[in-house]
Amino acid sequence: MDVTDATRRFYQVVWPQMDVVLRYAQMLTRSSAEAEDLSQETLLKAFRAIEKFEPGTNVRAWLMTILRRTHVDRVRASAARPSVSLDTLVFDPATAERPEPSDPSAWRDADAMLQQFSDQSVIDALRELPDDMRWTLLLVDVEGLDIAEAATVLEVAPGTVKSRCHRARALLKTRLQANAGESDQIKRATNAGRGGQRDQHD
Amino acid sequence: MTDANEHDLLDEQTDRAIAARLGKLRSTPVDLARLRTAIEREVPRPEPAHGRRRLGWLSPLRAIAATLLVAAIATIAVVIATTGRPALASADRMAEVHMSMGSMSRTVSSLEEAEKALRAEWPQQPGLPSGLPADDKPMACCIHNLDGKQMSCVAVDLAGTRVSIAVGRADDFKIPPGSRRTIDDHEYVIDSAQGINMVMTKRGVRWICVMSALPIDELVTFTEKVVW
Repeated sequence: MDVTDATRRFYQVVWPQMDVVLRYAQMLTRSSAEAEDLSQETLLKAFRAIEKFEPGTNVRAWLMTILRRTHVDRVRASAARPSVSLDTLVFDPATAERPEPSDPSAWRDADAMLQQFSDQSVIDALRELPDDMRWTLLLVDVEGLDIAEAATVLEVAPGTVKSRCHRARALLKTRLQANAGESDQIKRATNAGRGGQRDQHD
Repeated sequence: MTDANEHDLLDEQTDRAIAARLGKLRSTPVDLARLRTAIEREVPRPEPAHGRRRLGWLSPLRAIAATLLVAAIATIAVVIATTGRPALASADRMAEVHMSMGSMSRTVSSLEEAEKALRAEWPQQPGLPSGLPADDKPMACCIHNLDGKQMSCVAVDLAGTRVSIAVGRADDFKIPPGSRRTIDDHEYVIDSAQGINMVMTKRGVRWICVMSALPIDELVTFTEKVVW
């Protein structure tokens, strides 16, 4: 396949999936610049490997495989995990008015409880999971790949994907609860601080 | 019910609820502007194939003969297409149409501009929608051909996710069997392939197919709101 054919095929097959690649890169990284770098590297690798893509197969699963390998290489290459910038700790006013998601009994109606978490707080909790669990949830629950497709992308047995799904969801729930608990503590501390300031003014 | 059973049931419900909540992240909006520019810089779009360049090695006489032959084949194809049976708009083929919209389209900024561009290419086209749900802007359009039957396609940016609307003549396309849903007396056929959901219907002289990676319910809601 010559460069022109490869380019045409890239724009036909890969270009329409660019939003998917960037969306998952954002769920894997902590800044939009990092996500764009990861997406760019993934898409350029896809361009160079376009002749290996088999028409009729799942292009997203193929791109996820490249994205995952690129991400793994980047994590390995980086000596330390990226630090959390204070800029990312944004106060979400919507969270302050919600019921207490850290209360375990509230999970009896899990659907209602989960609706109370913003997309950003779910993504933040996802980012805190170990890579293998995070990838399993990204592929199976977010992207909707079946177990066999996810197993191919992750290069593990289908049974491993199934068990990881269950463990990863349980861990995600724990992270959501913990983050909500921290948010509750911050809220209480902030309220107490305001109360103290008011007392001083009085 | 024992405590253990109740615990298992709650676990299962939570599992399902988390999976469903994560599925909603699939439509999280993303800003592609910088990434698009970076990729187009690294992988320049190919120039459209020019007939003159392709025929450059031919002598003028051979070029004329080849042109006549191509014209004859095209005429025969059009005749066969216009008199033939309707094309089956299968989910797989329509998913390919949706996915190729990015590369084969011209950029537009309004429905009027898309309509004008498409009508110049296909004067008999049955007409694009006259209105879209608020804030959804057309971004690209093109004519696609399925088994000799033409369809006008317009892509819309819906909160960062591309939605393609394909419109053809009702007689030209056959809707494949699929799950059916009736809303306000309109019957919609729902299908999906290669991760692309689609809603197909016929309205008067039009065959319509709306496609996207959006969840099917959001796509049906979008389709209902399109003004024809």
